[in-house]
Amino acid sequence: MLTLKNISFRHKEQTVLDSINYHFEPNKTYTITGGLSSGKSTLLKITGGLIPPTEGIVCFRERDIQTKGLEREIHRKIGYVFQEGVLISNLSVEENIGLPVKYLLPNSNRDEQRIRVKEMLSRFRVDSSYLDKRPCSIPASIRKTVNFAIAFILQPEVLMVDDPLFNLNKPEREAVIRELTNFKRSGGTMILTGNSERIIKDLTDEVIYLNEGKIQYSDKPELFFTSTDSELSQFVTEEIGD
Amino acid sequence: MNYIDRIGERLIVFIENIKSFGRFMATVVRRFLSLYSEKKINADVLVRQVYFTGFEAFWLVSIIAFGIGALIILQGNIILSTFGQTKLMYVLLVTVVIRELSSILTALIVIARSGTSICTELGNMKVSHEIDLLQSYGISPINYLVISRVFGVVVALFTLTIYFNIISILGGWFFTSFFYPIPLKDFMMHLIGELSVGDLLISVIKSVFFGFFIALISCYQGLQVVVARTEVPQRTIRAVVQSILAVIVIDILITYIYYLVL
Repeated sequence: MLTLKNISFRHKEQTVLDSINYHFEPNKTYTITGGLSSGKSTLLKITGGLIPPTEGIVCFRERDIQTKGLEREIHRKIGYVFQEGVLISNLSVEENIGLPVKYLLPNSNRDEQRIRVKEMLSRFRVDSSYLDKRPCSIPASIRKTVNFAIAFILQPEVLMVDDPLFNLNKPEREAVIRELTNFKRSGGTMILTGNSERIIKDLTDEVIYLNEGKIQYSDKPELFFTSTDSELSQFVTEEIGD
Repeated sequence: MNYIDRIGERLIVFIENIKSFGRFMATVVRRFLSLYSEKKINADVLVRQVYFTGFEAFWLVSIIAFGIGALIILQGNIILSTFGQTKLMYVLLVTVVIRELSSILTALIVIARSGTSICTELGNMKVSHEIDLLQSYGISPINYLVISRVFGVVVALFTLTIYFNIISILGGWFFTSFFYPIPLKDFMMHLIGELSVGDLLISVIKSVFFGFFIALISCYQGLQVVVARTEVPQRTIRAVVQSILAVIVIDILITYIYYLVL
């Protein structure tokens, strides 16, 4: 479904990602894990077409994701949730939700969309009183769940989430895990990042361990937790948790 | 590294920056033409930009325009009366205010208010990943953020320049009447006698170019912010300095072409 071909990314003098090749299959959930500044978020952004790699290409169904003119078609199929929960600061929550809907689903009925928005927000336990508020006046946890709600409203084929449980309080955390589980059951493809044990054990089909800009391990979660590789087992002991 | 190497390195960086800005400008113009034909310009951002740049600067422009018109008459009257050439005051008003100062002072006001605000806003959006968010929806930041702002600033600066001209003429008349009580109608008749279509045209043509480059430079510098909030004020300073330089260079070029043609 998504293929990384010889992906490298350099920022100033530093090599963040170094010649990465990988193929993401449909209907599977991947978790990219690794230490601090290992390049997890950068790899996810490149895979989602948000930043171009310094070298190499990302193909979505055999087509280069950076091809001009394909942005809307590709991003209609890929939902992206940011680590911190990002919303456009000078728009209300409702306008934020309406923005991608207006651009990516231009033929949809407005009233129908409003109903879907409210339904989706309640699924993520977001009170509808937040709809009129600006992002700066709502808690970070709610901002992130609104990001999830937007991604789900667009009904993507692939969902990319940067550190799914980061910044979430317990009720929102449970709602997010439930929705991600449902998305996985419905046959969606997910690419997640982070070091959450729960996410890796309960949702992941394949763990990708990133170290010094390279993929050092890629296999099933069971093998990831029982690996005899000293560096990997040390990483699991020290970094993986909830 | 010796002195020559350092100069060479700076020259290369300068040329690279010019090339990068040129590419940005070409993209904005190309996208503007395609969006304009498809009627897909972001109306909300456009209206907000015209309101902020044009309408909210109304009082500031009024005070400065009135003051400039008055000062030109005041200074002109003192100097010209010693030669017995007070009638040249109208020529002075047309040459100094309408041809030059109206567009340049309005441009400076717009740089100070809107140029800085555009650069800061886009820079902060970049740092807080809002630009990435737009890209994740497949929305081009140039289409959504830049084009409406550039168009908005051009419209606002064009309107403010015309408005500046009107208010400065009124300021000029108001102070003239202190020295020689003259009805507004007579004052206007004398002024129109010295005014050509070219004078008005050059003023608005300059305003369009000024608005375009001020907004473009401010957007470009805002979008050049990479990761840190500390980059935002640095980029804003660059936007102000480069906008002022651009305004001066464009002003000289248009004035030169104007005198060449006439």
